[in-house]
Amino acid sequence: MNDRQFEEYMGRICRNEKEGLRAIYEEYCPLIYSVVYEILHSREDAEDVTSEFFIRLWDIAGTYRPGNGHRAWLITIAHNLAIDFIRKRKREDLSAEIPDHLQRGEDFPEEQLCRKLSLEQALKTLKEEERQIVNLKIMGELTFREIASLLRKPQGTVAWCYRTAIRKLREVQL
Amino acid sequence: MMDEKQLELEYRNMKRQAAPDLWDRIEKNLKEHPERVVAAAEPQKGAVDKTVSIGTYKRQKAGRTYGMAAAAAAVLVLVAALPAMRQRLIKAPEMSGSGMAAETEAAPETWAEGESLVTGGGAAGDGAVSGNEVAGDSAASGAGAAEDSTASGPGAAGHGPVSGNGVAGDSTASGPGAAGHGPVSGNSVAGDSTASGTGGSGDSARMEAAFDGSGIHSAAEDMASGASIKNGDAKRGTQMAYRPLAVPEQAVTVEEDSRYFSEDILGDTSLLCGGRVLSAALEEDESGRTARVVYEMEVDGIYYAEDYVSSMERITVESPIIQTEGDTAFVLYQLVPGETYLLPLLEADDRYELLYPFAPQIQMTGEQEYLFHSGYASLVTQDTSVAVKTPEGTNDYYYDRMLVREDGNFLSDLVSLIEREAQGRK
Repeated sequence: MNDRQFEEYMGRICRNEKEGLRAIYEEYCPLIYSVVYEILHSREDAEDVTSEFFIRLWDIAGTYRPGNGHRAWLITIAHNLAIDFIRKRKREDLSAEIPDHLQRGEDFPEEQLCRKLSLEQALKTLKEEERQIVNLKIMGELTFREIASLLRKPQGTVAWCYRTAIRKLREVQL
Repeated sequence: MMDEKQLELEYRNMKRQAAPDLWDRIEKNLKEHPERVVAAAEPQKGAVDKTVSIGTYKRQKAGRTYGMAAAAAAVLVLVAALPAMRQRLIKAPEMSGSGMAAETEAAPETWAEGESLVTGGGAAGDGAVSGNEVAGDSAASGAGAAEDSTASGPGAAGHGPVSGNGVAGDSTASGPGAAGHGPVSGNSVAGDSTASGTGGSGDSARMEAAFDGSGIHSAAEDMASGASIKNGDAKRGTQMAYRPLAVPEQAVTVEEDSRYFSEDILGDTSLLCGGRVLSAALEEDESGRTARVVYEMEVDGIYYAEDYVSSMERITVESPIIQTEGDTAFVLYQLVPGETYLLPLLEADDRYELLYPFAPQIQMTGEQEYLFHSGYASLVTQDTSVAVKTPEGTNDYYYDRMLVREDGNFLSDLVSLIEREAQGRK
Protein backbone atom coordinates (compact mmCIF):
# COMPACT_ATOMS: atom_id res chain seq x y z
CA MET A 1 0.00 0.00 0.00
CA ASN A 2 1.47 3.32 -0.95
CA ASP A 3 0.98 6.62 0.83
CA ARG A 4 -1.73 7.73 -1.50
CA GLN A 5 -3.78 4.59 -1.05
CA PHE A 6 -3.29 4.83 2.66
CA GLU A 7 -4.50 8.41 2.71
CA GLU A 8 -7.52 7.37 0.72
CA TYR A 9 -8.37 4.68 3.24
CA MET A 10 -7.83 7.06 6.10
CA GLY A 11 -10.18 9.45 4.38
CA ARG A 12 -12.76 6.70 4.25
CA ILE A 13 -12.35 6.14 7.95
CA CYS A 14 -12.99 9.83 8.44
CA ARG A 15 -16.24 9.29 6.59
CA ASN A 16 -17.11 6.52 9.02
CA GLU A 17 -16.55 3.81 6.42
CA LYS A 18 -15.28 0.72 8.11
CA GLU A 19 -14.06 -0.58 4.78
CA GLY A 20 -11.25 1.93 5.03
CA LEU A 21 -10.11 0.49 8.31
CA ARG A 22 -10.63 -3.02 7.04
CA ALA A 23 -8.35 -2.40 4.09
CA ILE A 24 -5.63 -1.03 6.33
CA TYR A 25 -6.14 -3.90 8.72
CA GLU A 26 -5.83 -6.47 5.95
CA GLU A 27 -2.62 -4.93 4.79
CA TYR A 28 -0.99 -4.13 8.08
CA CYS A 29 -2.28 -6.49 10.73
CA PRO A 30 0.69 -8.85 10.28
CA LEU A 31 3.09 -5.94 10.48
CA ILE A 32 1.54 -4.38 13.55
CA TYR A 33 1.16 -7.72 15.25
CA SER A 34 4.77 -8.62 14.59
CA VAL A 35 6.03 -5.25 15.82
CA VAL A 36 4.03 -5.55 18.98
CA TYR A 37 4.83 -9.19 19.48
CA GLU A 38 8.55 -8.57 19.24
CA ILE A 39 8.18 -6.22 22.18
CA LEU A 40 5.66 -8.08 24.30
CA HIS A 41 6.61 -11.68 23.61
CA SER A 42 3.12 -12.76 24.47
CA ARG A 43 0.52 -13.79 21.97
CA GLU A 44 -2.44 -12.68 24.06
CA ASP A 45 -0.91 -9.34 24.90
CA ALA A 46 0.12 -8.79 21.32
CA GLU A 47 -3.42 -9.53 20.20
CA ASP A 48 -4.79 -7.09 22.76
CA VAL A 49 -2.45 -4.34 21.73
CA THR A 50 -2.92 -5.01 18.02
CA SER A 51 -6.67 -4.79 18.46
CA GLU A 52 -6.26 -1.65 20.49
CA PHE A 53 -4.07 -0.24 17.77
CA PHE A 54 -6.72 -0.56 15.09
CA ILE A 55 -9.45 0.68 17.38
CA ARG A 56 -7.28 3.66 18.16
CA LEU A 57 -6.56 4.17 14.49
CA TRP A 58 -10.27 4.38 13.85
CA ASP A 59 -10.60 7.10 16.45
CA ILE A 60 -7.59 9.17 15.55
CA ALA A 61 -7.70 8.88 11.79
CA GLY A 62 -8.25 12.61 11.59
CA THR A 63 -4.91 13.31 13.15
CA TYR A 64 -2.93 11.60 10.44
CA ARG A 65 -0.75 14.01 8.56
CA PRO A 66 0.13 12.90 5.08
CA GLY A 67 3.57 13.14 3.69
CA ASN A 68 5.73 11.71 6.41
CA GLY A 69 5.54 8.05 5.54
CA HIS A 70 2.55 6.18 6.81
CA ARG A 71 4.40 2.96 7.65
CA ALA A 72 6.71 4.70 10.07
CA TRP A 73 3.73 6.49 11.57
CA LEU A 74 1.85 3.26 12.11
CA ILE A 75 4.85 1.46 13.50
CA THR A 76 5.67 4.29 15.86
CA ILE A 77 2.19 4.21 17.30
CA ALA A 78 2.23 0.43 17.60
CA HIS A 79 5.66 0.49 19.20
CA ASN A 80 4.59 3.09 21.72
CA LEU A 81 1.38 1.27 22.51
CA ALA A 82 3.37 -1.86 23.27
CA ILE A 83 5.84 0.01 25.44
CA ASP A 84 3.02 1.70 27.28
CA PHE A 85 1.35 -1.65 27.74
CA ILE A 86 4.46 -2.95 29.42
CA ARG A 87 4.70 0.06 31.63
CA LYS A 88 1.10 -0.22 32.60
CA ARG A 89 1.26 -3.83 33.47
CA LYS A 90 4.73 -3.52 34.91
CA ARG A 91 5.52 -6.82 33.45
CA GLU A 92 9.04 -7.92 33.83
CA ASP A 93 9.20 -11.33 32.35
CA LEU A 94 7.81 -11.37 28.90
CA SER A 95 9.95 -14.01 27.39
CA ALA A 96 8.51 -17.21 28.78
CA GLU A 97 5.57 -17.67 26.52
CA ILE A 98 5.93 -19.68 23.39
CA PRO A 99 3.80 -18.37 20.58
CA ASP A 100 1.10 -20.82 19.77
CA HIS A 101 1.54 -20.26 16.09
CA LEU A 102 4.40 -22.66 16.45
CA GLN A 103 1.78 -25.33 16.74
CA ARG A 104 -0.13 -24.15 13.77
CA GLY A 105 0.48 -25.10 10.21
CA GLU A 106 -0.54 -28.74 10.18
CA ASP A 107 -1.98 -28.20 6.77
CA PHE A 108 1.26 -26.99 5.33
CA PRO A 109 3.46 -29.22 3.28
CA GLU A 110 6.02 -30.88 5.47
CA GLU A 111 8.92 -29.21 3.84
CA GLN A 112 7.42 -25.80 4.27
CA LEU A 113 6.66 -26.48 7.90
CA CYS A 114 10.22 -27.59 8.55
CA ARG A 115 11.53 -24.48 6.91
CA LYS A 116 9.18 -22.28 8.90
CA LEU A 117 10.17 -23.84 12.16
CA SER A 118 13.79 -23.59 11.26
CA LEU A 119 13.49 -19.92 10.58
CA GLU A 120 11.63 -19.42 13.83
CA GLN A 121 14.24 -21.37 15.67
CA ALA A 122 16.94 -19.37 13.99
CA LEU A 123 15.21 -16.19 15.04
CA LYS A 124 15.31 -17.36 18.60
CA THR A 125 19.07 -17.35 18.47
CA LEU A 126 19.02 -13.64 17.83
CA LYS A 127 19.16 -11.08 20.55
CA GLU A 128 15.91 -9.31 21.25
CA GLU A 129 17.24 -6.10 19.80
CA GLU A 130 18.34 -7.89 16.65
CA ARG A 131 14.94 -9.50 16.25
CA GLN A 132 13.24 -6.15 16.56
CA ILE A 133 15.50 -4.59 13.99
CA VAL A 134 15.08 -7.47 11.57
CA ASN A 135 11.33 -7.24 11.95
CA LEU A 136 11.21 -3.49 11.47
CA LYS A 137 13.44 -3.77 8.45
CA ILE A 138 11.80 -6.69 6.71
CA MET A 139 8.21 -6.45 7.81
CA GLY A 140 8.11 -2.73 8.42
CA GLU A 141 10.25 -1.89 5.43
CA LEU A 142 11.66 0.98 7.42
CA THR A 143 14.97 2.58 6.62
CA PHE A 144 17.84 2.26 9.06
CA ARG A 145 17.36 5.89 9.84
CA GLU A 146 13.71 5.36 10.71
CA ILE A 147 14.52 2.34 12.81
CA ALA A 148 17.27 4.25 14.59
CA SER A 149 14.85 7.01 15.34
CA LEU A 150 12.19 4.65 16.59
CA LEU A 151 14.50 2.63 18.80
CA ARG A 152 16.54 5.65 19.74
CA LYS A 153 19.79 4.07 18.74
CA PRO A 154 22.55 5.28 16.47
CA GLN A 155 21.93 4.52 12.84
CA GLY A 156 25.26 2.75 12.48
CA THR A 157 24.44 0.46 15.36
CA VAL A 158 21.12 -0.42 13.82
CA ALA A 159 22.66 -1.20 10.45
CA TRP A 160 25.37 -3.26 12.05
CA CYS A 161 22.86 -5.18 14.18
CA TYR A 162 20.76 -5.92 11.15
CA ARG A 163 23.68 -7.19 9.13
CA THR A 164 24.82 -9.35 12.02
CA ALA A 165 21.34 -10.77 12.46
CA ILE A 166 20.91 -11.51 8.78
CA ARG A 167 24.26 -13.22 8.67
CA LYS A 168 23.27 -15.40 11.62
CA LEU A 169 19.97 -16.30 10.00
CA ARG A 170 21.55 -17.09 6.67
CA GLU A 171 24.10 -19.30 8.30
CA VAL A 172 21.28 -21.55 9.42
CA GLN A 173 20.86 -24.06 6.66
CA LEU A 174 17.31 -23.61 5.59
CA MET B 1 23.37 -20.54 2.66
CA MET B 2 20.00 -19.00 2.07
CA ASP B 3 19.77 -16.05 -0.24
CA GLU B 4 18.93 -12.82 1.58
CA LYS B 5 15.93 -12.10 -0.60
CA GLN B 6 14.63 -15.56 -0.03
CA LEU B 7 15.15 -15.11 3.67
CA GLU B 8 13.14 -11.92 3.63
CA LEU B 9 10.37 -13.63 1.71
CA GLU B 10 10.29 -16.52 4.12
CA TYR B 11 10.29 -14.13 7.01
CA ARG B 12 7.35 -12.16 5.70
CA ASN B 13 5.39 -15.30 4.98
CA MET B 14 6.05 -16.59 8.43
CA LYS B 15 4.93 -13.36 10.05
CA ARG B 16 1.82 -13.15 7.92
CA GLN B 17 0.85 -16.65 8.90
CA ALA B 18 1.50 -15.90 12.54
CA ALA B 19 -0.82 -12.92 12.60
CA PRO B 20 -4.16 -13.73 14.16
CA ASP B 21 -7.49 -12.71 12.74
CA LEU B 22 -8.66 -9.94 15.00
CA TRP B 23 -11.11 -8.18 12.76
CA ASP B 24 -14.29 -9.29 14.50
CA ARG B 25 -12.89 -8.23 17.81
CA ILE B 26 -11.78 -4.89 16.45
CA GLU B 27 -15.01 -4.18 14.62
CA LYS B 28 -17.03 -4.94 17.72
CA ASN B 29 -15.14 -2.34 19.68
CA LEU B 30 -15.17 0.49 17.21
CA LYS B 31 -16.77 3.55 18.64
CA GLU B 32 -19.36 5.29 16.63
CA HIS B 33 -18.56 8.67 15.28
CA PRO B 34 -21.93 9.93 14.10
CA GLU B 35 -20.57 13.40 13.73
CA ARG B 36 -18.44 12.22 10.84
CA VAL B 37 -21.50 11.19 8.91
CA VAL B 38 -23.26 14.41 9.78
CA ALA B 39 -20.34 16.42 8.61
CA ALA B 40 -20.03 14.50 5.38
CA ALA B 41 -23.71 14.58 4.57
CA GLU B 42 -24.50 18.03 5.78
CA PRO B 43 -21.46 20.16 5.58
CA GLN B 44 -23.45 23.20 6.52
CA LYS B 45 -24.04 21.80 9.92
CA GLY B 46 -21.65 20.89 12.59
CA ALA B 47 -21.69 18.83 15.67
CA VAL B 48 -19.34 18.41 18.50
CA ASP B 49 -17.12 15.40 18.31
CA LYS B 50 -16.50 13.22 21.28
CA THR B 51 -12.92 13.89 20.47
CA VAL B 52 -12.16 17.11 22.16
CA SER B 53 -9.60 19.16 20.42
CA ILE B 54 -7.51 21.27 22.61
CA GLY B 55 -5.20 23.44 20.66
CA THR B 56 -2.43 21.47 19.17
CA TYR B 57 -3.42 18.20 20.66
CA LYS B 58 -6.47 16.11 20.37
CA ARG B 59 -7.99 14.29 23.20
CA GLN B 60 -10.04 11.18 23.06
CA LYS B 61 -12.23 10.57 25.97
CA ALA B 62 -14.43 7.60 25.64
CA GLY B 63 -18.00 7.92 26.53
CA ARG B 64 -18.03 11.63 26.91
CA THR B 65 -21.17 13.03 25.51
CA TYR B 66 -22.43 16.46 25.25
CA GLY B 67 -25.92 17.56 25.56
CA MET B 68 -28.19 18.82 22.91
CA ALA B 69 -27.60 22.36 23.98
CA ALA B 70 -23.91 22.02 23.37
CA ALA B 71 -24.47 20.44 20.00
CA ALA B 72 -26.86 23.17 19.04
CA ALA B 73 -24.40 25.79 20.13
CA ALA B 74 -21.70 24.14 18.12
CA VAL B 75 -23.93 24.07 15.09
CA LEU B 76 -24.52 27.77 15.38
CA VAL B 77 -20.87 28.41 15.76
CA LEU B 78 -19.75 26.32 12.89
CA VAL B 79 -22.42 26.93 10.33
CA ALA B 80 -20.60 29.66 8.56
CA ALA B 81 -17.18 28.21 8.52
CA LEU B 82 -17.51 24.55 7.78
CA PRO B 83 -17.97 24.52 4.03
CA ALA B 84 -15.08 26.80 3.45
CA MET B 85 -12.79 24.93 5.74
CA ARG B 86 -13.25 21.55 4.31
CA GLN B 87 -10.45 20.32 2.15
CA ARG B 88 -8.54 23.44 2.69
CA LEU B 89 -5.07 23.71 3.95
CA ILE B 90 -4.43 26.58 6.14
CA LYS B 91 -1.25 28.33 5.58
CA ALA B 92 0.65 28.92 8.68
CA PRO B 93 1.77 32.36 9.28
CA GLU B 94 5.13 32.78 7.80
CA MET B 95 7.77 34.51 9.68
CA SER B 96 10.83 35.87 8.27
CA GLY B 97 13.93 36.98 9.91
CA SER B 98 17.52 37.01 9.01
CA GLY B 99 19.38 33.87 9.72
CA MET B 100 16.62 31.98 11.31
CA ALA B 101 13.97 29.58 10.42
CA ALA B 102 12.18 31.76 8.12
CA GLU B 103 9.16 29.92 7.15
CA THR B 104 6.78 27.62 8.69
CA GLU B 105 5.31 25.02 6.54
CA ALA B 106 1.72 25.14 5.67
CA ALA B 107 0.16 24.02 8.82
CA PRO B 108 -1.37 20.67 8.29
CA GLU B 109 -4.78 20.71 9.61
CA THR B 110 -6.42 18.16 11.65
CA TRP B 111 -9.93 17.80 10.50
CA ALA B 112 -12.00 16.82 13.39
CA GLU B 113 -15.21 16.03 11.74
CA GLY B 114 -18.06 18.20 12.59
CA GLU B 115 -16.16 20.30 14.94
CA SER B 116 -13.83 23.11 14.73
CA LEU B 117 -10.79 22.70 12.71
CA VAL B 118 -7.60 22.30 14.52
CA THR B 119 -4.43 22.97 12.79
CA GLY B 120 -1.25 21.64 14.03
CA GLY B 121 2.14 22.99 13.69
CA GLY B 122 4.53 22.58 10.90
CA ALA B 123 5.41 19.14 9.90
CA ALA B 124 7.71 17.12 11.97
CA GLY B 125 10.92 18.89 12.00
CA ASP B 126 9.54 22.32 11.64
CA GLY B 127 8.15 22.51 15.02
CA ALA B 128 6.27 25.67 14.46
CA VAL B 129 2.74 25.50 15.48
CA SER B 130 0.74 28.21 14.07
CA GLY B 131 -1.80 29.29 11.68
CA ASN B 132 -4.78 28.04 13.42
CA GLU B 133 -8.19 28.11 12.08
CA VAL B 134 -10.77 29.52 14.30
CA ALA B 135 -13.46 27.75 12.50
CA GLY B 136 -16.10 30.27 12.59
CA ASP B 137 -15.36 30.76 16.15
CA SER B 138 -17.30 33.57 17.55
CA ALA B 139 -15.83 33.60 20.92
CA ALA B 140 -12.17 33.37 21.32
CA SER B 141 -9.23 34.53 19.45
CA GLY B 142 -6.15 36.53 19.75
CA ALA B 143 -5.15 34.74 22.79
CA GLY B 144 -1.81 33.66 21.71
CA ALA B 145 0.48 36.55 22.07
CA ALA B 146 2.40 36.72 25.21
CA GLU B 147 0.56 39.21 27.22
CA ASP B 148 3.39 41.53 27.64
CA SER B 149 4.29 41.53 24.05
CA THR B 150 3.60 44.07 21.47
CA ALA B 151 1.30 42.89 18.84
CA SER B 152 0.09 44.47 15.76
CA GLY B 153 -2.17 43.47 13.05
CA PRO B 154 -5.75 43.49 12.20
CA GLY B 155 -8.21 41.08 13.46
CA ALA B 156 -7.87 39.31 16.64
CA ALA B 157 -4.24 39.27 17.40
CA GLY B 158 -2.88 41.11 20.22
CA HIS B 159 -2.80 41.33 23.88
CA GLY B 160 -4.26 38.35 25.43
CA PRO B 161 -7.53 36.78 24.63
CA VAL B 162 -10.05 38.72 22.78
CA SER B 163 -13.47 37.38 22.65
CA GLY B 164 -16.39 38.13 20.53
CA ASN B 165 -14.56 38.45 17.30
CA GLY B 166 -16.21 37.01 14.32
CA VAL B 167 -13.03 35.75 12.94
CA ALA B 168 -12.51 33.22 10.22
CA GLY B 169 -11.34 35.75 7.77
CA ASP B 170 -8.27 36.02 5.71
CA SER B 171 -6.32 38.64 7.40
CA THR B 172 -2.77 39.63 7.46
CA ALA B 173 -0.77 40.84 10.32
CA SER B 174 2.70 41.96 10.48
CA GLY B 175 4.95 43.30 13.05
CA PRO B 176 8.56 43.92 13.58
CA GLY B 177 10.68 41.26 15.00
CA ALA B 178 8.59 38.24 14.39
CA ALA B 179 10.50 35.57 16.13
CA GLY B 180 13.47 37.75 15.89
CA HIS B 181 13.58 40.03 18.78
CA GLY B 182 11.41 42.13 20.84
CA PRO B 183 7.82 42.45 20.01
CA VAL B 184 5.67 39.71 18.92
CA SER B 185 3.83 39.81 15.74
CA GLY B 186 0.20 39.52 16.10
CA ASN B 187 -0.93 37.02 13.66
CA SER B 188 -4.33 37.03 12.33
CA VAL B 189 -6.61 34.46 13.60
CA ALA B 190 -8.19 32.55 10.90
CA GLY B 191 -7.93 31.72 7.33
CA ASP B 192 -4.87 32.18 5.30
CA SER B 193 -3.02 34.52 7.42
CA THR B 194 0.45 35.70 7.04
CA ALA B 195 2.60 37.41 9.51
CA SER B 196 5.90 38.80 8.68
CA GLY B 197 8.59 40.17 10.80
CA THR B 198 11.80 41.87 10.26
CA GLY B 199 13.75 40.77 13.21
CA GLY B 200 16.72 38.55 12.90
CA SER B 201 18.14 36.01 15.16
CA GLY B 202 21.11 36.51 17.26
CA ASP B 203 20.97 40.24 17.20
CA SER B 204 19.47 40.51 20.54
CA ALA B 205 20.42 39.07 23.83
CA ARG B 206 16.87 38.20 24.55
CA MET B 207 14.67 37.06 21.81
CA GLU B 208 11.08 37.08 22.72
CA ALA B 209 8.84 34.40 21.55
CA ALA B 210 6.77 35.00 18.56
CA PHE B 211 3.43 33.69 19.39
CA ASP B 212 0.44 33.72 17.28
CA GLY B 213 -2.45 35.70 18.23
CA SER B 214 -4.43 32.81 17.04
CA GLY B 215 -7.29 31.71 19.03
CA ILE B 216 -8.29 28.21 18.56
CA HIS B 217 -11.72 26.92 17.81
CA SER B 218 -12.59 27.52 21.40
CA ALA B 219 -16.20 28.33 21.09
CA ALA B 220 -17.55 24.97 20.18
CA GLU B 221 -15.13 23.21 22.36
CA ASP B 222 -15.63 25.30 25.39
CA MET B 223 -19.31 25.52 25.09
CA ALA B 224 -19.37 21.82 24.73
CA SER B 225 -17.16 21.12 27.64
CA GLY B 226 -18.63 23.76 29.80
CA ALA B 227 -15.32 25.47 30.18
CA SER B 228 -15.42 29.14 30.36
CA ILE B 229 -13.04 31.66 29.03
CA LYS B 230 -12.77 34.98 30.60
CA ASN B 231 -11.75 38.00 28.73
CA GLY B 232 -8.22 38.93 29.38
CA ASP B 233 -7.54 35.84 31.35
CA ALA B 234 -5.43 32.91 30.45
CA LYS B 235 -7.21 30.46 28.32
CA ARG B 236 -7.54 27.52 30.53
CA GLY B 237 -9.00 24.57 28.82
CA THR B 238 -7.46 25.40 25.54
CA GLN B 239 -3.97 25.50 24.33
CA MET B 240 -3.00 28.39 22.27
CA ALA B 241 -1.23 28.01 19.05
CA TYR B 242 2.25 29.27 19.37
CA ARG B 243 5.36 29.54 17.47
CA PRO B 244 8.23 28.22 19.51
CA LEU B 245 11.37 30.20 19.93
CA ALA B 246 13.65 29.90 16.97
CA VAL B 247 17.08 28.67 17.88
CA PRO B 248 19.98 30.53 16.32
CA GLU B 249 22.54 28.51 14.46
CA GLN B 250 25.31 29.05 16.97
CA ALA B 251 23.21 28.37 20.01
CA VAL B 252 24.36 25.98 22.69
CA THR B 253 21.84 23.18 22.57
CA VAL B 254 21.35 19.88 24.29
CA GLU B 255 20.28 16.72 22.55
CA GLU B 256 16.73 15.69 23.24
CA ASP B 257 17.77 12.14 24.01
CA SER B 258 20.60 13.08 26.35
CA ARG B 259 18.53 11.79 29.20
CA TYR B 260 15.60 9.49 29.53
CA PHE B 261 12.65 10.29 31.67
CA SER B 262 12.25 8.38 34.85
CA GLU B 263 9.95 9.08 37.73
CA ASP B 264 12.70 8.66 40.25
CA ILE B 265 14.24 11.87 38.97
CA LEU B 266 11.39 13.57 40.78
CA GLY B 267 13.27 12.80 43.96
CA ASP B 268 15.57 15.68 43.04
CA THR B 269 12.74 18.19 42.98
CA SER B 270 13.53 21.34 44.90
CA LEU B 271 10.25 23.04 44.22
CA LEU B 272 6.95 22.14 42.68
CA CYS B 273 5.07 25.18 41.65
CA GLY B 274 2.09 25.89 39.52
CA GLY B 275 1.43 28.98 37.57
CA ARG B 276 1.01 30.72 34.33
CA VAL B 277 3.88 31.38 31.99
CA LEU B 278 4.14 35.06 31.22
CA SER B 279 6.96 35.04 28.74
CA ALA B 280 9.61 32.91 27.15
CA ALA B 281 12.91 34.16 25.87
CA LEU B 282 16.31 32.96 24.85
CA GLU B 283 19.30 34.17 26.77
CA GLU B 284 22.96 34.25 26.05
CA ASP B 285 25.75 32.95 28.16
CA GLU B 286 28.91 34.80 29.09
CA SER B 287 30.44 34.06 25.74
CA GLY B 288 27.58 35.66 23.91
CA ARG B 289 26.10 32.47 22.59
CA THR B 290 22.45 31.78 23.05
CA ALA B 291 22.43 29.12 25.69
CA ARG B 292 19.17 28.82 27.56
CA VAL B 293 15.49 29.49 27.63
CA VAL B 294 14.20 31.73 30.36
CA TYR B 295 10.58 31.71 31.41
CA GLU B 296 8.88 34.27 33.58
CA MET B 297 6.06 32.72 35.47
CA GLU B 298 3.25 33.99 37.63
CA VAL B 299 3.05 31.66 40.59
CA ASP B 300 -0.36 30.30 41.55
CA GLY B 301 0.92 28.03 44.24
CA ILE B 302 3.86 26.16 45.64
CA TYR B 303 2.93 22.61 46.36
CA TYR B 304 6.19 21.09 47.39
CA ALA B 305 9.46 22.53 48.55
CA GLU B 306 12.55 20.71 49.61
CA ASP B 307 13.53 23.58 51.86
CA TYR B 308 11.72 26.58 53.21
CA VAL B 309 10.81 29.10 50.58
CA SER B 310 9.12 32.40 51.10
CA SER B 311 6.00 33.04 49.16
CA MET B 312 6.54 34.44 45.74
CA GLU B 313 4.38 35.95 43.09
CA ARG B 314 6.72 35.43 40.21
CA ILE B 315 9.48 33.06 39.44
CA THR B 316 12.11 32.85 36.75
CA VAL B 317 12.69 29.39 35.41
CA GLU B 318 15.54 28.38 33.15
CA SER B 319 16.03 25.52 30.83
CA PRO B 320 18.74 24.34 28.48
CA ILE B 321 17.80 24.56 24.83
CA ILE B 322 16.42 21.34 23.50
CA GLN B 323 16.17 21.71 19.80
CA THR B 324 13.75 20.27 17.32
CA GLU B 325 15.21 18.23 14.54
CA GLY B 326 14.29 19.19 11.06
CA ASP B 327 14.76 21.89 8.53
CA THR B 328 14.11 24.59 11.04
CA ALA B 329 15.36 24.90 14.54
CA PHE B 330 12.96 25.62 17.33
CA VAL B 331 12.90 25.01 21.03
CA LEU B 332 11.39 21.62 21.66
CA TYR B 333 8.85 21.16 24.45
CA GLN B 334 8.77 24.87 25.06
CA LEU B 335 6.43 26.26 27.67
CA VAL B 336 3.78 28.38 26.07
CA PRO B 337 3.18 31.86 27.43
CA GLY B 338 -0.35 32.19 28.64
CA GLU B 339 -0.57 28.53 29.55
CA THR B 340 -0.52 27.13 33.05
CA TYR B 341 1.84 24.42 34.17
CA LEU B 342 2.85 22.39 37.16
CA LEU B 343 6.61 22.49 37.17
CA PRO B 344 8.97 20.35 39.20
CA LEU B 345 12.03 22.56 39.50
CA LEU B 346 15.59 22.14 40.50
CA GLU B 347 17.34 24.87 42.43
CA ALA B 348 20.93 25.59 41.67
CA ASP B 349 22.80 28.72 42.71
CA ASP B 350 19.56 30.47 43.56
CA ARG B 351 18.24 29.84 40.10
CA TYR B 352 15.43 27.53 39.25
CA GLU B 353 15.68 25.16 36.34
CA LEU B 354 13.21 22.74 34.88
CA LEU B 355 13.88 19.42 36.53
CA TYR B 356 13.26 17.64 33.32
CA PRO B 357 13.63 19.85 30.26
CA PHE B 358 13.85 16.89 27.91
CA ALA B 359 10.13 16.22 27.98
CA PRO B 360 6.86 18.11 27.94
CA GLN B 361 5.95 19.65 31.27
CA ILE B 362 2.70 18.94 33.06
CA GLN B 363 0.16 21.38 31.78
CA MET B 364 -3.08 22.41 33.40
CA THR B 365 -5.52 22.50 30.58
CA GLY B 366 -8.57 23.13 32.64
CA GLU B 367 -9.94 23.17 36.10
CA GLN B 368 -8.37 20.06 37.61
CA GLU B 369 -7.46 18.83 34.16
CA TYR B 370 -3.87 17.93 33.52
CA LEU B 371 -2.02 17.07 30.36
CA PHE B 372 1.07 14.99 30.99
CA HIS B 373 3.12 12.34 29.30
CA SER B 374 3.00 8.64 29.92
CA GLY B 375 6.41 8.61 31.58
CA TYR B 376 4.55 9.58 34.75
CA ALA B 377 3.26 6.04 34.99
CA SER B 378 2.30 6.41 38.63
CA LEU B 379 -0.10 9.19 37.76
CA VAL B 380 -2.06 7.14 35.28
CA THR B 381 -5.47 6.13 36.57
CA GLN B 382 -8.49 4.44 35.12
CA ASP B 383 -9.92 7.78 34.14
CA THR B 384 -6.88 8.92 32.26
CA SER B 385 -7.55 9.46 28.60
CA VAL B 386 -5.24 9.70 25.65
CA ALA B 387 -4.31 12.91 23.94
CA VAL B 388 -2.70 13.01 20.57
CA LYS B 389 -0.52 16.00 20.18
CA THR B 390 0.83 17.39 16.97
CA PRO B 391 4.53 16.51 16.83
CA GLU B 392 6.76 19.48 17.46
CA GLY B 393 9.54 17.99 15.40
CA THR B 394 10.96 14.72 14.21
CA ASN B 395 12.52 14.21 17.59
CA ASP B 396 9.33 14.86 19.53
CA TYR B 397 9.29 11.60 21.39
CA TYR B 398 6.19 12.33 23.38
CA TYR B 399 3.63 13.54 20.89
CA ASP B 400 1.66 10.32 20.97
CA ARG B 401 2.34 9.60 24.61
CA MET B 402 0.33 12.40 26.05
CA LEU B 403 -2.41 11.76 28.54
CA VAL B 404 -5.14 13.79 30.11
CA ARG B 405 -6.41 13.27 33.61
CA GLU B 406 -9.23 15.23 35.05
CA ASP B 407 -9.69 14.85 38.74
CA GLY B 408 -8.96 16.63 41.93
CA ASN B 409 -6.41 14.13 43.13
CA PHE B 410 -3.84 14.64 40.44
CA LEU B 411 -1.93 17.30 42.30
CA SER B 412 -1.84 15.39 45.57
CA ASP B 413 -0.80 12.27 43.67
CA LEU B 414 2.05 14.18 42.09
CA VAL B 415 3.17 15.61 45.40
CA SER B 416 3.02 12.15 46.97
CA LEU B 417 5.09 10.78 44.13
CA ILE B 418 7.70 13.46 44.60
CA GLU B 419 7.80 12.88 48.33
CA ARG B 420 8.09 9.16 47.82
CA GLU B 421 10.93 9.52 45.38
CA ALA B 422 12.64 12.06 47.60
CA GLN B 423 12.27 9.73 50.53
CA GLY B 424 13.87 7.00 48.48
CA ARG B 425 16.94 9.15 48.07
CA LYS B 426 17.48 9.46 51.78
